[in-house]
Amino acid sequence: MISAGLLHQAASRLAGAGLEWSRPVVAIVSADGRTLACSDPDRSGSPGCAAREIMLAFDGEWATGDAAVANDPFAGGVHVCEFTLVRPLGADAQCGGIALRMRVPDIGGFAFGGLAPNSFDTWGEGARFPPLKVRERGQAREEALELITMNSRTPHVVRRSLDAMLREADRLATALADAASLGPAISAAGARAAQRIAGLARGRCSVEAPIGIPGAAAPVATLRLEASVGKGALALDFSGSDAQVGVSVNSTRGHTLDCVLGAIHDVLGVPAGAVPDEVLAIVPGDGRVTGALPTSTTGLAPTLAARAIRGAVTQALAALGAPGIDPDAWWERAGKRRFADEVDATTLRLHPARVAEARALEQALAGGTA
Amino acid sequence: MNPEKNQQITAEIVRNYLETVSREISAIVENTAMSPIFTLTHDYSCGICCLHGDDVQLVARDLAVPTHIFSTVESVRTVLGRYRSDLRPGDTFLVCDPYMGGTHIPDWTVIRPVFIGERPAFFTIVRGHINDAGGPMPGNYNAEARDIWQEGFRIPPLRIVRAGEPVPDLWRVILANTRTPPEVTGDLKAMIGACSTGERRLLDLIARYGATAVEGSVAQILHHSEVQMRREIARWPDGAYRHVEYVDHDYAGHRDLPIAVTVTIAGDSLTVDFAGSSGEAAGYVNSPPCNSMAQVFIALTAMCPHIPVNSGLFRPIRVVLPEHSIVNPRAPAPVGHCTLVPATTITDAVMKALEQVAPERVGTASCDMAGNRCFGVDSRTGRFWISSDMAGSPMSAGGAYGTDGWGAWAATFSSLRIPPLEVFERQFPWRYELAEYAIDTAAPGRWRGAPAHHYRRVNLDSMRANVYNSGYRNSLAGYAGGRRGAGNYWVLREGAPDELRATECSFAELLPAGSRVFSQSGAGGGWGDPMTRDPAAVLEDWLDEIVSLEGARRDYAVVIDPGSRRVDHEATEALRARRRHVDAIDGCAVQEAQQARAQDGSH
Repeated sequence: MISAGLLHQAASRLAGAGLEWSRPVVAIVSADGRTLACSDPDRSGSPGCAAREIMLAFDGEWATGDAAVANDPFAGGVHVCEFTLVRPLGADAQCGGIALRMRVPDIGGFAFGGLAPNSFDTWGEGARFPPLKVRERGQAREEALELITMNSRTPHVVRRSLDAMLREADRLATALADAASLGPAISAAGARAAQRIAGLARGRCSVEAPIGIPGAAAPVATLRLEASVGKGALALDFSGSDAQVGVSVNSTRGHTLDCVLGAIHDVLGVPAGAVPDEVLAIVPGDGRVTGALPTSTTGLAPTLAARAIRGAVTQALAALGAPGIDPDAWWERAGKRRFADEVDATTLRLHPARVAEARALEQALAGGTA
Repeated sequence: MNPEKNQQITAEIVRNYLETVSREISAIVENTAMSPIFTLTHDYSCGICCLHGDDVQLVARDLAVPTHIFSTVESVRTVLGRYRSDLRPGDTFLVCDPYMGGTHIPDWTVIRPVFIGERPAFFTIVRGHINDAGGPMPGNYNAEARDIWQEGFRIPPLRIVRAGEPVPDLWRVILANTRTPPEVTGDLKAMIGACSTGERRLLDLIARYGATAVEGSVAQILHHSEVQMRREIARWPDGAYRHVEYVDHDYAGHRDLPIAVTVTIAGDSLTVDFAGSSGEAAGYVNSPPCNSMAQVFIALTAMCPHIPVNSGLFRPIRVVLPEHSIVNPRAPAPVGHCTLVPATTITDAVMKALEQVAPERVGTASCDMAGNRCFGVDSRTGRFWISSDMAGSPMSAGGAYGTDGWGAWAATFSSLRIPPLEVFERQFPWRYELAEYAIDTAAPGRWRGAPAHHYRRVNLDSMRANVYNSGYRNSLAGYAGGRRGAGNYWVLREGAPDELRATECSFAELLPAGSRVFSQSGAGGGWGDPMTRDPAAVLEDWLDEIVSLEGARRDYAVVIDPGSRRVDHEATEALRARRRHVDAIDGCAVQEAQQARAQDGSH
């Protein structure tokens, strides 16, 4: 069994050295993109989705010592400032891989930090990176790394984040020398999740939840969830939600999966990670506010859309017989603080304190004092 | 025949061959690229550089956008700086970044080295303006940009084709950062394919004549232009010649930014020093060094049209660009508008300084577009589109010694083409209602500038419009006593209650379906005192509806009898005598009146 402690230690190390706000996630993913284990139950879906895209992009082209990154919100990602790095396990990623996620302070666009309410589309929030190898056969691929860093207002911080992820990926790969151990891990986690979901009452329910800006009079969109349980499987269909909107609250497929798995974890106590496809079907609704397609803006989704999605899933699970918890529990526990920390509620841009912090770190790294 | 003569003939054959190859490269791009900005507007340029000793030299070019082609030398240098020890046949490089061998982000340069044996000897080059290169603003002209990241996706010099094979993940990233990937893919492949053909042609030449003969010829070609240029400069009187032109504004609230030039001629060489120019601008009018130098070369090549254009011509010229200035900014200052603003002003400033040296050689050689980019979704197809409607800004030709301004853009930019209006109506959701020369807008001079162009279109869908206007207050210069051009401006939602007259810029302004857009695209200045213009030429202009009766009197002091359609010579002489007297009293009065007339236009 993979030690959760191992992943948490790796995430803690990533957060060290002045990168605390980068909210690192460390996950072990299967070759087909399922998260087998994850350091953060709130974000246990999208790392797998992104890793699958990355592994597929180089299918048949992986060599020992290779690693690749991506930040594309529409290929498993969440928002352009969140980079996922994958280091395959075994030959040609057949045994899955290690996926690490870090938020970087800036990746270009209209405004520092990727929160740009005046954006017309995703490029206004920052540069888009589909899967790109940053290390080949153990050698850093400098032209690719430069391509990423020069699109950031904080190139040194981004480089430090990428280097840190590469180091941790190598460390974990050594610790997970026996890749065969991943098989039992899938079975154990999956069986537990299936058992909990099978315990739900058969039936269906509908939930509506507003997605709004705190302090604003009216919501910017409404989420509509149809949930049903039958034959031991849970189906969550968001396709009745409003179409994606011009405000950057649109939740990508990967992000919606994060929110659903996070809520299931909270309500059913399912371990962060693998819920087998056989017992959970999610329809995010392509082109809806819960299934954002290129080229919509997504910067505020991890706080504001997350509140609505997690709340709706929690409510639905309660209606289907799961233990009832406050639908806004996640918001009260984590979301509200995160919104206050990260977002200037007046301008909806990155909070000035965060900007100052990132700029200071960039300056220190550029000057060689950090 | 003596061997020296023989060598000269071979060099001339090689020179023509290389220029023909440049033309072929250009034709391939035109015939295979996808976006209208390449195929219709021809906003790209092609040429061949060589390694001469340790340095890169431009040796041949097709009829090109001079800003493009003169700055590609720096692009090749940047590639060599990074990859010199690791170049292989079949490699192709992409250079874009303004601070790494480029000018502004959407101008992409494709470079393919050509090898003689193991060493790179030549480089085939295409530089073209990509319709969209990501970043916050569709089409990349972001008047609100205050840093380079607000202008588009930055690409360092990259090897995008390695030994003949595309590097897939780099392509994926590049194409994920454009809003028009199918078009950009087609354009990029066209550029690469054209460079490959150029490579084959060069290898054919080397196989036929031998490397020694070809490289010897190239050295001779460069030397010939250098000698010619030195000879030309040596004819000009030694001295320091200064002029200051002004950029209208920096799109960040600052107006009349100086471009100060001192041209110092000493024997057969010349120094162009920009000391005294504005510091780095807050808005996107900063010009990276290779862009600034290109504008200097535009002025000088235009003044010496008899000299074959290559780096040899530039050898006697030294350009001094003060650091952290508008002509030599440091990253991350925004530069998005640099190829037009301050480019136009730089060329005009150099020309005006040299007006004191060789007045019969100077005139408008720049291209001050009243720029616009629109974007939206075409309701006929559901397709997202971005358009640079150059039909709204086609003018910059000015008068020159012995000739009136004619056509549209200045001759130096004549490789650019105004798109056929009917084709654009098919491609974009609008209809043109007006596109014509406007009466009484040609800059007066002994040889007048071309008239301004008036344009109106009605939009069939709603869309957003970025207008990035310049040359409204400081329009294109006049020369040797000729007046300034009429200047540029736009009117958005013309005739509607919320009509917007944009003399500086508009930012993603919403234009509803049915709205109208009007523009005046002013042309270049006149050459020589208008009072010396041949009255018969003024009469011709009246018959051609280029000047009105009143304009003929006001601007040229020519009296025309409309009944007989003849010049009243007696009245004209009397009026000119009076006007000369008034001018002598207050030379500024006419200039001010002319400026007021130009700015009001006849809209």
